[in-house]
Amino acid sequence: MKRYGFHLAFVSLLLLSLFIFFSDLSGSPLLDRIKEVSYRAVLPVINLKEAIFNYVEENMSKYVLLVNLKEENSRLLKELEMCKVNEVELSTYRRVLRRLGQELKLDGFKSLGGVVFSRVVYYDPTGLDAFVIISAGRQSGVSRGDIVLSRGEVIGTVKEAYTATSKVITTLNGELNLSVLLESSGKAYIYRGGYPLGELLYVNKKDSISVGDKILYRDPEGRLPNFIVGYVDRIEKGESPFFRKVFVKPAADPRRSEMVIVLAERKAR
Amino acid sequence: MIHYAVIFVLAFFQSSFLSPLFAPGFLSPDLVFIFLFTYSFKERKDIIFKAFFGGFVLDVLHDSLGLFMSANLLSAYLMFMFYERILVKRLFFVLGSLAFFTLLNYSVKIALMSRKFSFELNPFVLSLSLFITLTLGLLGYLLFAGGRDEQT
Repeated sequence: MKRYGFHLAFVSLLLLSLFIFFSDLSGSPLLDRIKEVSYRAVLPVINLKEAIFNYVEENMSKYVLLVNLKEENSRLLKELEMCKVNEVELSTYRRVLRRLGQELKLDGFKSLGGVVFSRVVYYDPTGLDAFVIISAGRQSGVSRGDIVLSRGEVIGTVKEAYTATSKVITTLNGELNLSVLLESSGKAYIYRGGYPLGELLYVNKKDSISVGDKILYRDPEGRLPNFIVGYVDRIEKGESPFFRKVFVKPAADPRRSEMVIVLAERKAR
Repeated sequence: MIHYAVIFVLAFFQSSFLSPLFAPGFLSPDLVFIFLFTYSFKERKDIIFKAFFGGFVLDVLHDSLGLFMSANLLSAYLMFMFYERILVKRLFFVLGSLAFFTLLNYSVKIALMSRKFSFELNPFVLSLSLFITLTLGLLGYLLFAGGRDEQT
C-alpha cells in the first residue's frame, strides 16, 4: 500500500508539473490573484535573488570586458613598439634626406609640417559625400588647402578652416582639383573630383594608361609622400581629338573614416 | 525539515549565482539535483516530495513553472527505483550512474524547453555545466553519502 502511494504521488506530481508547464498556468489571468498573494509572500526572496543575479551578471560582463581590454592593450602595445622602431628609422631617413638635399642643393626641401589627428564629426547629408567636417580647426594649426588623409589614402583638402572645426572637400567633390601622378608612368596630371567617379584631366591619347592603374598625390613642392588618391576605373574616347576621358575611382571612402590626419602647413599648437 | 532548508538554500544559490554565468539559465549546474543524487544514496525518504519542493523553488526563482519540477521529479523517481534495486558503492558505479541521471535530467529540461521556446544551445556552456554537475555530484557523494566501497 505504501509502495502504491509512492508511485501514485510521483505520477500525480509529474502530471501536475507537466500540466503547469505546458498550460502556461503561470501566465493565466485566472490565477493572477493567487500569484499576487504568493509572490508578495516570497517577494523579498525574489528581490534578493534579482539583486544578486544582476550583481553577478554585471561583474561577469565587466570581467569579460576587462579581459578583452587586456588583449586589446597588449596588441596596441606591440603596435606602439613597432611604431617607435619605425619612428627612429624614419628620423634617420629624414636626416639622410636632409643631408642629401643639402649636398644636391635641392631648393624647397623641407620636412613635413604638423600632423594633426582629428575626428570626423559631420558627414554630407545629401549622401554625395562631397564634404566632411572634422574636429580640428585653426586652433590646431589647420589651414586652407591642407591635405587630409585616412589610412594613407587622400580624403580631400581643407576648404575652410574655422576656429575649432574645418570643412574638408572630398575626392568625390567636383570642386576639388589635385595635382596627381600616374604610378605606372610617373607622368603628372590634374585630378578633378566627382561623384561617384573623379576624372583625370588632359590625358593625351598617346599616353600609356590602363584600367586599375594607381593614381598618387603629387606635392608640387615635393615634400609630401605620394599618398593614394584612387584607381583608374574607366577610359573613354572623349570629345576632344587630343585627349581621352579617364575616370578614377577614389580610394578613400569618407563614410568609413572616423579618424583622419591633416598634414598642416604650420606646426600644430 | 533541515533537508528542505538545505534544498531552498541550494536552489537560491543556483538561481542567483550560477544562472547568470550560464546562458540559458536553466542549463546552470543543478545543485538541487546533486542534493537529490547524494540523498538517494543515503536515505531516500520522501525523495519525491523533496524533488518536487526543490523543483518548485527553482521554478519560482527562474520564472519557469513546471520545468525543474518535472525534471527533478523524474530524475528522483528513477534514482529511487534504481538505487533501491542496485546499490554498489564503488566509484565507477557511482560515476556511471551519476552521468546517466545527469544526462537524463538535462535532456528532460532541454526537451521540455525546446517544445515551448526557442533558445540557442551553446555546446561549451552545456559541457561546462555537465562537467561541474558531475564533479559536484561526485564530491557530494564522497563527502555526504559515505564514500566507502560496499555492495548492497
